[in-house]
Amino acid sequence: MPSLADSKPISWAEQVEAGEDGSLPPATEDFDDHNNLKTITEYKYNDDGKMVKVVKTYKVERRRVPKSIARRKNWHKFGAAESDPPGPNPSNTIVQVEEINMQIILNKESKNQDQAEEDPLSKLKSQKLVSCRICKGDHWTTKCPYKDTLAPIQCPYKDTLAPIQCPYKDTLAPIQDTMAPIQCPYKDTLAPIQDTLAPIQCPYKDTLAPIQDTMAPIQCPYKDTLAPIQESLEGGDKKKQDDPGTPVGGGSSSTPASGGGSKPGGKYVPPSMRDGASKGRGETMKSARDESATIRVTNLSEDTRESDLQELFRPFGPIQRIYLAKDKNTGQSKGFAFINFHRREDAARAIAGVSGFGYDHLILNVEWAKPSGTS
Amino acid sequence: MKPILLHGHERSITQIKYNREGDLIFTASKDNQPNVWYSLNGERLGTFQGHNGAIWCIDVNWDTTRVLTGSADNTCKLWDCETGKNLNTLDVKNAVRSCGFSYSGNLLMYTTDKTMGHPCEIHIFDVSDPSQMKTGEPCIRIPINGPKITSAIWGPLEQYIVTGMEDGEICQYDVKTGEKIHNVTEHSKQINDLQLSLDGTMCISASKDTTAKLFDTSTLDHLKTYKTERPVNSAALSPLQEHVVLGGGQEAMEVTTSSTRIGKFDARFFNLVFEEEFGRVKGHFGPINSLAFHPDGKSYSSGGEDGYVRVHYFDNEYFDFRFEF
Repeated sequence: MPSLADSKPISWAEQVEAGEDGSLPPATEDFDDHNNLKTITEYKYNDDGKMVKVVKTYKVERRRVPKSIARRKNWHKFGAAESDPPGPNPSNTIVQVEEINMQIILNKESKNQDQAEEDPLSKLKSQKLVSCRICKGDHWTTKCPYKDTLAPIQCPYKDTLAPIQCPYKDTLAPIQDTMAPIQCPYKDTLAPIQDTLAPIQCPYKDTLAPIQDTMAPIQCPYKDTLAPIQESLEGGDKKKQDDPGTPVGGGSSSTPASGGGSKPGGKYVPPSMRDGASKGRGETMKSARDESATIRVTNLSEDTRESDLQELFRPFGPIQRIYLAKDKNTGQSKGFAFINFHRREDAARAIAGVSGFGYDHLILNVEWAKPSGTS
Repeated sequence: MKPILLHGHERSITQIKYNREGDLIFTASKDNQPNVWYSLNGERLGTFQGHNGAIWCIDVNWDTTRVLTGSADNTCKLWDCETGKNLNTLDVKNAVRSCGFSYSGNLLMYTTDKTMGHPCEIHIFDVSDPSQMKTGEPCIRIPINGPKITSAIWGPLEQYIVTGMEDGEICQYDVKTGEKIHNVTEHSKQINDLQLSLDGTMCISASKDTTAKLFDTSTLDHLKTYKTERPVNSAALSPLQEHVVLGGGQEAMEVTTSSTRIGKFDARFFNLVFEEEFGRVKGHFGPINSLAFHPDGKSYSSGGEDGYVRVHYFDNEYFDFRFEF
């Protein structure tokens, strides 16, 4: 009766090994009738070439079976198994080493719990995986239902109005928010303003005035804060509006002295007088760089230059330094840059404003730079 | 328990069966060699060589002298179990999907696929008539109109054949007249497997609609439903206890397109009466295609899409387990 107890090593590897060296002592087989134990002692060489003695002990079990089964036990093997020696062929029959147990499911609760655990997708449903750049909703930007309505409103404002009215951006921004949801009835009236503002960048008097007019009907809460702008502009000269050197008449403006003196055409402000350098005089160059206001821009195209970056980030506030990583040989951009702003708020706004911005066919990724010590 | 893995097939297992005493396991797979093994230690007794296509079904007669295999190479072959010799080859127009010996072993039947312009048919042969076996002309031919048969078994007393259809219908065909006696449409999708209980009074169907159902064999009354969340490929009734084991899982072609969670290929044990799952056994790394209980109910085997047959001998834990109600 074939059983596991009859198994002998017949894998080809062992046969080859046994045939290679005749000096191995022959395998011995002892049978202990008393305990029904069979002991097989074999010798072989291990990987290091040392002789190893292998002792296998089997417990022999005798079973009573019907005659028909006993007869079948003595059948000769046929087909592909014809040449197999008695006992299971280890290449076809594997007794799993590790024990597996039937998992007993006791009650319904555990079953339900199990089902809840089983579906990882259901867990993720509660989390916000994607965020729309247009409406901040839980979907991809391209799937945004407001894509065609909000996007054109928001985007041009950011690009054109923000840079010009820089110091008042904080106060103007809420207007945008209030207008957007009500499907901005002034879209049409504001649009031409932008057109005129963008190219010339100068005649604010004529173009800003209509803003006030259009705001009046919606009881603009910023009317009071806007008025000074106009005054200052009217009374002012042809200076760039984002020039911080001009003390703005209206005290309501929250950031009258923002912006850097480094802007082309702006009035020169000594570095020691600038916002970012408020730590005192006599600092070393190194410490003068405020790491906290540094952002890292990645996914830039190869053609990007520092001047492009300056143009892109200047609207958010005075920039202390721009470092664009370039290839030493070709001089082309490596695709990332660090922008040091003077103020952390500007940097934060830059992150909020430019991250996800399409630039040169690529979508920019802007985030806080890690402290230079770690990079 | 430490299962014995039978690795004699190169492709996925399609059907496994024990003989009446349970000392041999017959396995068929999509490679062209059906195998027979000793169930006690997993030793391979032999292979039946001669088919040229996937083997869809295998059966053994009452006294384990003859083996019947149906293949996609459009033949159904009868083998001598002791020597593995091919005794007869029945040429068919189509792939043979399902085959079986009647209880006496005197009649054999197989069902054919509905392809290449030929209808699905049930063919019945009298094994004891050599002329029939030689010419390959069946003594009874039952044409099936409508969806093809995906699983078929003999009813008790050789009076009728129970068939599971591609659209989920289960029918009874009278062997003598070829008439449809009963039909029920309890399943909504293809029947993958039909198996009888030990005494033949009940049969269990496994369907792609993720359930297995218990029927009265003679009236086809629907008795019980066992629900899972995956297609059920095979279901077997324990001859010893009031237990049902279900095997299945996603279809191989769909595995890559859905949940990444490994597993779900467990054999699942249900209480026959209360329809509640009480245990699972893991092991296969593909869907289970066929399940069979040992006739003594103390072990069972499963054959999977992974090409392995796993023979499990139950622990005491299983026999000590009492369902709480």
